[in-house]
Amino acid sequence: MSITTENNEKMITLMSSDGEEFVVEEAVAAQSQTIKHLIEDGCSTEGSIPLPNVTGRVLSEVIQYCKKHSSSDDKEEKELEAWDAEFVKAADDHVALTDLMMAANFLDIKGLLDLVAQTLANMITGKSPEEVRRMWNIKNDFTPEEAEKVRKENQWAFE
Amino acid sequence: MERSDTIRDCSYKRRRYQDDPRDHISDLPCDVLGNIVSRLTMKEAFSTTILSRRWRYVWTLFTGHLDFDNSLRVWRSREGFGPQQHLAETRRFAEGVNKALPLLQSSTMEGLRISFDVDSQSDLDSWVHYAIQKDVKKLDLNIVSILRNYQNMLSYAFPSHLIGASSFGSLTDLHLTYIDITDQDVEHILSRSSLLQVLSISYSNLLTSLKVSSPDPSRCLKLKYLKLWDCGNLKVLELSAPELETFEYFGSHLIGDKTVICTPSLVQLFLGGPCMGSPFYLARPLLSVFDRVRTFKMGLATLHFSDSVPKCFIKTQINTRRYRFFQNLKVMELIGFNGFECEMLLLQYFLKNYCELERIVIDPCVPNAIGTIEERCSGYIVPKPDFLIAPRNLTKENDALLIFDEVLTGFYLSYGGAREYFASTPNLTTLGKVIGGGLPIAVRIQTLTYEYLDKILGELVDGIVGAGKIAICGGHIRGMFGFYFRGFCSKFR
Repeated sequence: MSITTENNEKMITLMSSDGEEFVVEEAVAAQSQTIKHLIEDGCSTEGSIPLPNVTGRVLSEVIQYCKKHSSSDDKEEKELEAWDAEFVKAADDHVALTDLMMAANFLDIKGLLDLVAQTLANMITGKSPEEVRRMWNIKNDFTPEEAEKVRKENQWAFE
Repeated sequence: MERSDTIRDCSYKRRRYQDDPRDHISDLPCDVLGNIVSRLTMKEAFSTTILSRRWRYVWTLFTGHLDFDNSLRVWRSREGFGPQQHLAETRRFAEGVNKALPLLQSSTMEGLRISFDVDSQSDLDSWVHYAIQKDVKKLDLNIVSILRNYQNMLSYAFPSHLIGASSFGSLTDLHLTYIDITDQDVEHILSRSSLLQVLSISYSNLLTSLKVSSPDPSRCLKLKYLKLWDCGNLKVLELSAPELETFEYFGSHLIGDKTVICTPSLVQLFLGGPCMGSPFYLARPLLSVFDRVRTFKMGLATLHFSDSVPKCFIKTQINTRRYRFFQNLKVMELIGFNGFECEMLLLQYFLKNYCELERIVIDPCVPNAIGTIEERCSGYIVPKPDFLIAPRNLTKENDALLIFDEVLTGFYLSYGGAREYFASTPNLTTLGKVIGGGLPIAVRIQTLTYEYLDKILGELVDGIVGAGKIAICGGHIRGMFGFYFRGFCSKFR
């Protein structure tokens, strides 16, 4: 299903895994390489594009990002950077960043992928392994012997 | 789609992060985790191995900057424990590096930096080979052979046989320290790496007549930064780089009439070493290329020079009266300022003749950069005790502001820093790392009176209380006294 608005923007409909529908301009959706290829293959003409891996909540964040980045090509880079920082902070309140990362990976949006990956990397930086585990509920499933072995293997790099 | 129900969102978040015990990050696919760890430093990426089984080999997807730096430990073992332990330490580290490198899965790497001593040329060869294979963007090799006899530095030769037709195509930064590289190899690399922006070669004995220019007339060099440091045999330099912004040269006199320097974009220039004694750069054809230079740094310390430099400098200026060099000079730095008369002459000259100068920086303490390695490690050349009095008077006469930025001298030299030790009072003193010891604190002392310690402690405590870390404060004040006594001891040792 493709609708054309008054100013001749082609609109397409995206459907999230939980059945929520989002109508966006094609230029916005095409920031995602995955969707772009789907459109090129003619999938958008037969109704909405189903995105089985992305929930509505996450998709709305992704669309927000794409909207900003498709409309601000010639705007100042600094402003966009500041917006990105705010966006990640706000997104963190609504969805898990890991889900956003998954969506960016699946939809193949390089800018968003870089942004979230950098945010997650910043969260690791300067933390001890124990702190990282606690932050993300990572379960230490090494036996004490294994842990010792791993530590020994990499000891040379840590001193 | 607008966010509407904030209350629901908040509860959603709570559920997600606090009650949901699932480990979301480990559910991400491998390549995504690889993307994340590649943004960490190499050490941090390594340390993810012990998080859990899932994370054990995530680091092998690392594509960032590989930084193998063991120079501090190597230096300690070299100084402290003697050759045997030194050898063992360097071997252990080299083995670790050689084990880790093949495990990395990515076909490209952002960069490779290796900084420690090794005991065989084959290690260096294999690392260069690795860098070529992985098409690195940044390569930084600082490798000293430990098979030297503890008197002379022994350099390794750059393995030129490894450079193939398509090597180093993505290279942007190249730093080589203590690696003997030949003129031809540098030219080869320049011709293959069209993206090269930073080139730094230090202590290569094989350079004699270097040509840094584009071999292909249709393609300009992208080079922005060039550093040639103490390459003892370099006599002729042909430099033609239209985009070069910074040029640092430390070394012997270049032959003026054979040396060609064409750098129309140059804004920052460092010159130091014996070349200052008979400045090749004062040769007439070269003068014009320094017209746009805004920052000129002169390395003075390592010269036990006579009056010849400033006299030569001033004489040339007078001889070429129609041609005033350094027309756009804004910042002048004198590095290794000792307070000798000839240096004062130079200082005076610049104060009088360059009214548009915004700043003159005097850096009295520079690492001892010439001589044997033992001399180099021995620390800093300490200037004459009264060397700062003259600049103080000069700045008073000329109505200039005098600022001490005590990066190395604060507390090391004496309790009152350089201003006490040299009995010279600046208008402003700034203290950074030496007082913070890792904490984000800096102190600015504006008073001309001598209330040093009170001020420092007052501001220190204020700063720390402001940051809410009172517990650390005690430790750091002790640390501060530690600095003081260390400075004291080394002074009288």
